[in-house]
Amino acid sequence: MLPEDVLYLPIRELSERIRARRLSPVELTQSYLERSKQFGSKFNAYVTLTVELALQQAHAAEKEIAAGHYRGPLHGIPYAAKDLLAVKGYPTTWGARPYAEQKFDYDATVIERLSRAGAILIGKAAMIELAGGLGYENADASLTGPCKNPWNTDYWTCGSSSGSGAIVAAGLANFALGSDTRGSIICPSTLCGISGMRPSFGRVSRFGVMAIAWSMDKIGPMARTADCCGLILSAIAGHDSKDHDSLPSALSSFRYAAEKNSRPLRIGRLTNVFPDADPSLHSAVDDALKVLEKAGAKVSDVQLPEGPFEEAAELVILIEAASAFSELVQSGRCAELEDPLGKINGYASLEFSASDFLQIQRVRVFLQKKIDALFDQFDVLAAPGEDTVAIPLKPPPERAERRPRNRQRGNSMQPDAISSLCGLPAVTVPCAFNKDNFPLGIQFMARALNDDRVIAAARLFQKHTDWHTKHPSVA
Amino acid sequence: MKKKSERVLPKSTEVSRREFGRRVAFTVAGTALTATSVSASAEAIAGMLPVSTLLQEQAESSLPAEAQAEVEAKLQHVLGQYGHLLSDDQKKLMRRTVTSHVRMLEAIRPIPVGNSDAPATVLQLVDDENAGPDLSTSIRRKKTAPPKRE
Repeated sequence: MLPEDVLYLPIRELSERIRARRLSPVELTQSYLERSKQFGSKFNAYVTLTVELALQQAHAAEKEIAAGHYRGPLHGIPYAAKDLLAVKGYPTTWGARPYAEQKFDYDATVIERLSRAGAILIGKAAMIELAGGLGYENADASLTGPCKNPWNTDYWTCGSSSGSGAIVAAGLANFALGSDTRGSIICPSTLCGISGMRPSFGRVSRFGVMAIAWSMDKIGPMARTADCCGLILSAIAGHDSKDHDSLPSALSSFRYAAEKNSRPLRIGRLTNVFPDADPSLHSAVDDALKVLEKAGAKVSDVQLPEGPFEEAAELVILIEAASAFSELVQSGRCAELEDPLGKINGYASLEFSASDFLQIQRVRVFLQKKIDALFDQFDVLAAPGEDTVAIPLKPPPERAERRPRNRQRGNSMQPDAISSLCGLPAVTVPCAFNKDNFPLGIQFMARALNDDRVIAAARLFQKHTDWHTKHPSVA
Repeated sequence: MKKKSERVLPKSTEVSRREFGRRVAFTVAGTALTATSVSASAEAIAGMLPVSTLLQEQAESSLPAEAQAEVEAKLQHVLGQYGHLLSDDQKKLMRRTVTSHVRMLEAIRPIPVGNSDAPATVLQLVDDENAGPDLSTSIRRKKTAPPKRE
């Protein structure tokens, strides 16, 4: 078993050792597997460990590298995949009881691409049932129970890529894949103190991935650093004719150039988002931006434009999810879901009319243009990663009463809804810890297809700070 | 001819970009719903926080009469179809859920759109990037067997 600090190394450092044959992919895989077996259940982080496949891939990687066939920075690096990604021969449960026995006889495109890059799949990560596609009220809305935050197991990881967040935070795998329809990578990455990225819509194939909302679903990396996210995105991005919304190669492929900073980054600090959030979240972002300013970035305040972004994002998801899960809803099998809201929400969503759906989609184009105009002045927009520091698994009654009311009062300006609705890339990275040792995050979002800019901003920050090197004491 | 991408507002309404923004803001403020309704179901979907309290609070606040009538009609319809599958508690939650849906629609419906403002849902004619420039050949879809679910 390798020492813990090795398991928390970023991809670039591990891959240098693997390439130089100072680190064995087999030993690395066995160490992550051992750690996953030991601690995975403590966090309810996994649905399945793919032990046989992992060892087979690890031995193949070792043999190839020894023979001089090094495939690139992901060769020999173990990862986990959210359990909505099809992996041939293993269960793909979508985190939901009605699909507990489901298997596919093919791999999702992203799994194929990571295999081609030489990465090693060690397990399927736990998730909120149907990735929250039919709604949910509680953290335990999952086939595998509530996913616990490695920083404090009385608290939730956030969702829906819950297991992916816990796995990376706890060092059970080097990186994970998550999915993000509206915040499902950004939120758990932030609350777990890791680096997470939602790529531009259409850049990463969703073939072989459970759909919630075809026009909003994205697959992205959750890892130790923004640099790791860039390396992973390079491997998984690119056109796929099997995904209807996949962009052509010229737009979808992503060549990550880690040191490409030709001019100072122009950063817009969003001043009208999360107005009711804990002040420590905003001050952490202000401090982070001071670091970036010292590093040469130009920072100025800006406001998100007004508009029914939240409503549009939410309605698109509700309507598309009702169609995506129509078989489950109309058969009545949604009653088998864990969550009270998930059991009924699909019925309500079947009541939306076609004319309403088209109106939303027409307004969406206006909203997209409104937000796009902001990027004439800025390369990236910055905001807190989330509006919450930590979410208790079981909140005390008085907090359960109070918290949602606080949230609803002024938090309509949520960057997640806006960027998800408009298909914009975003990255969140840890930028501080509060007095209770919970990680706080800063998120950057950019114009569609400017994925390199969000990575550049986060990388610049991580170059001058060490928040991303901190990890919880798992044992 | 002006490029289509430069036109951000409906021709038919002749509304300036600023006016559009104002109308949108007015619409949002006028319906007095954003924070409430949006947080509720958005959190449910996005994988964030619980929603039941929010939905309850939304249901308690009033809707315009027309919107309330719509809630009742939708509720009747959904309960007529699926009511036999639902408990009393689920029917109460259904009312709150339908109410929150109608609230959100009320924020979107008044936004003016013109005849030529196409929705963000388009049919892609070409699904194979390697297809030739001749449209008649490029629209031929690759026939692949649908993946099997075991």
